[in-house]
Amino acid sequence: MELTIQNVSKKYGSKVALKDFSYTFHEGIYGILGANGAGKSTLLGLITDNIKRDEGRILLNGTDILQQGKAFRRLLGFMPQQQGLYEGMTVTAFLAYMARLKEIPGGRVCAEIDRVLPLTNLSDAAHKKCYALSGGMRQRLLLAQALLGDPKILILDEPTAGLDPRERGRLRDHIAQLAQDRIVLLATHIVSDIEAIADDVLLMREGSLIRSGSPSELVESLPPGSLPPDQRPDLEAVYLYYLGGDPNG
Amino acid sequence: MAEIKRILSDSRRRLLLILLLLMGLGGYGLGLFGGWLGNGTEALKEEAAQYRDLLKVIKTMPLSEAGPYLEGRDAPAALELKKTVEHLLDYPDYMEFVQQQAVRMSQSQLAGGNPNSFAYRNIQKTAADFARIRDVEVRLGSQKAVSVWIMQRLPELFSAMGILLIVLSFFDEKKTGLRELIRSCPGGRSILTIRRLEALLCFSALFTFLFSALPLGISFLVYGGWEDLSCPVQSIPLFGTCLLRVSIGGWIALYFLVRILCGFTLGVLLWFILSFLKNWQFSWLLLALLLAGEYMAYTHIAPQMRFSFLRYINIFACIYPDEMFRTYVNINCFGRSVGTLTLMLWLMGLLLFILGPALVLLEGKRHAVNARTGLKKLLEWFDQMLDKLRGRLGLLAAEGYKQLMINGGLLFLLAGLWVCAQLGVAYRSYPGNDAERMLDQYLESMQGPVTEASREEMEQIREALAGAAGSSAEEAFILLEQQLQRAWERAQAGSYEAWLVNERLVKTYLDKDMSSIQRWLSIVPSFFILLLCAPLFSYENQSGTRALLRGSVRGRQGIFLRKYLLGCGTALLFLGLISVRTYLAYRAYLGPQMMAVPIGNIPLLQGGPAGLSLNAFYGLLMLQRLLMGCVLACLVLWLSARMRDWLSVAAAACAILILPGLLPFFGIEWTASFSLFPHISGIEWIDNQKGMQNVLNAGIWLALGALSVWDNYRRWRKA
Repeated sequence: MELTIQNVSKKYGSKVALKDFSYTFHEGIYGILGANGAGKSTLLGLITDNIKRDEGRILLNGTDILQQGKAFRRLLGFMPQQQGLYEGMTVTAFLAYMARLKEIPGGRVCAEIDRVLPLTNLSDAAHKKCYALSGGMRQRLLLAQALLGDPKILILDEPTAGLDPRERGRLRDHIAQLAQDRIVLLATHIVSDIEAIADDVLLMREGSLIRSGSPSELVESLPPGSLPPDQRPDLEAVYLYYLGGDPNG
Repeated sequence: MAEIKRILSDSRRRLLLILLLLMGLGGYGLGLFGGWLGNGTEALKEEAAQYRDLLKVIKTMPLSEAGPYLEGRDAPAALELKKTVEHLLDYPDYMEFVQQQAVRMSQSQLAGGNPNSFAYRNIQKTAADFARIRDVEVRLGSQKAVSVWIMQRLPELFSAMGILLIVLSFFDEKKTGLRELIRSCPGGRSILTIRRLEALLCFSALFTFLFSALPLGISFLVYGGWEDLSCPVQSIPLFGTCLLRVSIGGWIALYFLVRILCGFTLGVLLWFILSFLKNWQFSWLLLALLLAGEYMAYTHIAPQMRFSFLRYINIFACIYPDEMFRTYVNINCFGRSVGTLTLMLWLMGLLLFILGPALVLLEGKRHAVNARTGLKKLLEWFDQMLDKLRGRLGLLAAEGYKQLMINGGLLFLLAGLWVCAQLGVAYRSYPGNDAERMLDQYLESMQGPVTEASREEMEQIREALAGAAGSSAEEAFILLEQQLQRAWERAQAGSYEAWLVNERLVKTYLDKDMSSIQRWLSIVPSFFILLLCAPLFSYENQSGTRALLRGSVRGRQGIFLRKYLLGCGTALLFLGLISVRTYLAYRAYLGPQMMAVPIGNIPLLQGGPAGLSLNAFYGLLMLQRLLMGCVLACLVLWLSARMRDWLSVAAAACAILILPGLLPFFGIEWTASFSLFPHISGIEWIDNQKGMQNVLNAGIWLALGALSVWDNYRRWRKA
């Protein structure tokens, strides 16, 4: 499976959100790192066709995803950044509704819900109303719906926002297990989320891809003497060197 | 003051309060004008002038001469004054009768045997109560303003809705998540509750002024009567059994005070109930059930029934407190006989004495985040059970669940179906004279296809009528003959079967009055349709789930299609119900066999395809109504996709779609040309005689509906 982004650009009025972006994703975990406003969410929005692209193409196995339409979305699991939920629904009802939207047959819906609830540690909240969920639980519920139907392309926009360190660890472990035969795109501005699990990391700034490669390659790419004496050569140093700012949010 | 400012700072709430006021005063005005503002103003002016003139005359004569003077006058004002005069003349005798009755009853075996029985005490109390007003000197005066005002109940209902709206504003912080913040401030607990109680009292006073005093002022402007405010209140026939020794003016002042207290008590009671419930849907459902139960008790329990206290210790008794002053009823209260007014005032005081401090204490002590209460556990268990069912819902059912349960549409659906089932779908026309009555009798046996048998029957009637020249039977026969001739000629010219039809009955369902009824029958269900369709798209905008939906397989076309299915299904359900009810009423009125008449035989329908049966014609009307109902639903859905909350959608849809159809009822006829309702009602096409212009207008609405669907689809699919 190959997801190719070819020279994709997107502007909001005069503001360039994504500039001539090209990259090819294969099975594996891709961490997309960048500060707020770097264009991460725009890139994910373009891949999920929630945002209309101005230029370029996005191909899955050589065919444009817009042509594939439903066939592409059948492979897709998407967790958006906004915590939009139906407040009056229970967790189970919400997941059942999303399962229906994902064309999961009626007979399999309950089994799928039973599968994703423990994965996201939501079993105890299965019958709680969405309005009664904490921020972290809402985040996990959005992840749970993305995992429904075992999608081959998993797109996660800031999945760890609002999670406590233990939940973050659990989520990272789970994503690492998922990556066997699927493409996982994980957009974040928190380096520790992807350091240990990402096969490749894409560094974005002002809508452009600054650099990409495995974490070790990126660390090696740092010019000698570019780090302060007390800084270890790791992905955090890479973030600071290429993007500046606070790598831990 | 700060709390009042906060409550009124919400623009949506302000808009709703203004709408309530307009509806209350509009309804009051419509009531005064007899339902038609256009012709009603003239009729009202005439009636008011007549009332004043007659009153001026009879005030100058002794009361005993006023009756004969009014005798033989048919004007409504004269009839009303006649009733007043009779009441004034009979009043002293009535008072005497009550006293005698008390003595007689207390000596009877039935009640007088046991002085400890309720019956005995009730008789004694009645006698004692009426003895207090025995010497009241009732006088003739202009009292119609007060009588009319008291009988109009709509403004009071809207006033109660206003109180509910204010009470709901006390829960704003629960919805906005500010509760913890407010409770952490020094004045955010008990003091805030006291301020809110003050605000509630102020609003109750304000609503009393707006919904009670203002309509009374309008009544006084129309009928006059300021100068007679000093008459004893018993001078008004409606207050014949009122036990208060006050003037009309005094009673009005007292009534306003009681109204303010009643509004305040109602608010405190609703606040108390709602404050226990965290789940909003559940709260609404419970409140609706409570109000429905109270209303049933208020309207269905008669004063003499065993549980009559449920009628008087009732929320609606607080909404309409005037009844307590006007109706003399004693209730068995642990064997004692207690008047309903006394009971209500005591209970109201007790309720305020208990609930007021209780609310201050509860709001002060209750924590913002509650532990799991028994009710909460019960609701969770209930959700757990329901989840088994929800997990099996298909996409259409899930969308329906969102519409009806999550957005609370079920209440609108049930209320709408109930209202649509109650609406009068037709009126009956009765023969105006003996000839018409006879004609009806002839037609009852002869109506149907014109055959040789019809002619033979005509000959038989002619023979039977020999020697009855000039009678109404002969007049009817001539009318019948003319009708038969016309039917025959029309059929000859138009190549369809000639039928004899009772044209008067058929006309009842096609004339201007019916057209007005059908307009109303289109507007009322449309109001519920728009309330149910309003959240279909706006809820997605509000929840921020569009990106999530678009990322799923069926989140684009699939959901879009189902939302339209639900919207159009709602329209079909409501308008279908109205259509079927109208058809059945028409069928029962004309008789089933007459529904097969070719419409060429019906004078009002001769412009249409003559061979079409009335059944088929009605079927086409029904189709048109359903199609236009779907257009209405599509337009509401178009608005819904552009707004974030259903209330804005409903307000916009009311303004754009409902109002132009409603204004003709107030005499502003030109707005009908821009309204969808003539096309939903269908019958208006026959009445307005605009021919092709009707078709063109309907075509424009259809095109608008189709365009709105296309535009919505484009927008929904667009990234």
